[in-house]
Amino acid sequence: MKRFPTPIVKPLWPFFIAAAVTYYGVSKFADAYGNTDEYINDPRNPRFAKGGKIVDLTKNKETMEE
Amino acid sequence: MLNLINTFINSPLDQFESQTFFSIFTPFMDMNNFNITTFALYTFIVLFIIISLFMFTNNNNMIMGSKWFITQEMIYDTMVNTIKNQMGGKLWGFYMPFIYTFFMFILVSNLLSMIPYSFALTAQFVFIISLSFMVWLGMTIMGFYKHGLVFFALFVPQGTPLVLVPLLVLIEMMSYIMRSLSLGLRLAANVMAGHLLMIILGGLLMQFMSINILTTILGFIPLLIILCVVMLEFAIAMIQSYVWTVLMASYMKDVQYLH
Amino acid sequence: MNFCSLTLKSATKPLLTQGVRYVPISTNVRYLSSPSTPPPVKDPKTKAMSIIDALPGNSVLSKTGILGTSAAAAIYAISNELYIVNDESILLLTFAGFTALMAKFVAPLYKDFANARMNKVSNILNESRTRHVDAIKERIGSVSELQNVAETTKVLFDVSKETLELEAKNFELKQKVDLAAEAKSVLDSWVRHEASLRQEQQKQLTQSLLAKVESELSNPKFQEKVLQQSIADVEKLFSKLK
Repeated sequence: MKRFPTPIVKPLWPFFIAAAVTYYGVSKFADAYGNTDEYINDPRNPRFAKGGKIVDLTKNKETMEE
Repeated sequence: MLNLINTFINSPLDQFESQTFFSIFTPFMDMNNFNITTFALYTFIVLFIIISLFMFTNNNNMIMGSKWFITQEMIYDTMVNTIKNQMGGKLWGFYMPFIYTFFMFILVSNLLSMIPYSFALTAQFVFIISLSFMVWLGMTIMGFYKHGLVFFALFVPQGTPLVLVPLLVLIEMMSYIMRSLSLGLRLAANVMAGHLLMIILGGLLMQFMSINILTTILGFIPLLIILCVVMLEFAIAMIQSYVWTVLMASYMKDVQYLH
Repeated sequence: MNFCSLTLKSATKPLLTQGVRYVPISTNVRYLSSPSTPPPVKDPKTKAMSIIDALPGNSVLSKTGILGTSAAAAIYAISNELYIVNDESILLLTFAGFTALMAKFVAPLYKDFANARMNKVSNILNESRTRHVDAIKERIGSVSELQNVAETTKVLFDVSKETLELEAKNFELKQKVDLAAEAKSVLDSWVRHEASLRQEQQKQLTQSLLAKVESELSNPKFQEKVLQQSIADVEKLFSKLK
């Protein structure tokens, strides 16, 4: 296979930084969104794969109110 | 761990649902990033298709490729011309491989998603919008690195009266920031809308055809209409990847040369 | 009337031939015989046969076998819920239709285009190769003319040697000639010098003579002597006359 001396890091380093930033941000956002009231008891939440329990939201709210 | 049973369609949006086929579970750390989901599977399929499009068509590394290779040449030629025309100057060659990679990925995943029972990678809003955000953020970093604070000159169109400058800067900045969303939203919304339209029309026709034998025979007329929609969707699949490329090249031009 | 009969003739002829051609032919024979001229009207039988032709296999039996097996497999799959007919099945149908349309209409166009393009490129490559070969051959030809360059140089060397020798001889002879000419000119000049010397001597002799004569003439004694002699001569003459 012929090798081509295409510069990759030199012109594209900002995109690598941006990819890292975006990956971090999106994963943080996904975690935060999964922990909202709407999705905390969703069966697709990866929390359940690790043996998480269903959170009783009504009880939580009551405790928060108290 | 292997979960291939759930292939029923309950709602039109089910086709965009990604299932986990394989996951590593450890109590010590979060291994969710290494799950093999539908998404990961299709990413690998796209990678395999793109590589095999090059590997199996180059006629055993002879000077001339096979008949299939002409398609590759045409795509490459189109990309070079488009990016050259959009960017101009001398820097287009540095970013051509990057934009070409995006084009090939989007084109192949769009066309792959047109096969029935397959998964639309480009209809995943989170993925596509993070991709476009990544592109936008990278370009912004590049612009600031290259031009420093002069980069803000991008927000002032040439020949603006001084009175209008603050307003225009505000508007231009808004539009510049919105690029990060609009680039991905355009693609994902188009692909998703196309797939939804097809599946909803298919469902309606299915219900109509399952009434009795007469409607089954009559149903072949709307089937032709769905065929036309499918053809349109194929066209959209190609056009959207091209649009992404053109926009990305023009954004790159903005960042590199400021106007 | 004539015209009418002509048209009738022309109209009845194909009908008759058609009747003869298409009625007694059984399906099997029809399948084996590929018509050289396409029939003007496609009857449903040939149409059905063309669909059957499109299937893989050689004989009608295997084709019907394939059709039957696939239909049975489909029915089995649907009835046992291996394949579930749902909304996506319609899309499967349309996709199959789209693929068929592509294979039927776009693929031949692409094939032609690709073949044309590949021919063009391969022609260019072959042409350049033949051109290169020709150029090399031409060069070999032009170089091979200088094949016996050693002999030619030897001959040239001999010729130049001869020329040099001749030139040397020529030079010698020329010098001899020059020497002779020089000697001749020297001798000539000597002769001229001698002649001029003699002339000079003669001139001086005559001049001295003339001067002596003139000085003698200017001498009064001599003048008197001459005068007296001349008078004597004249008197002698007068005496003679008398």
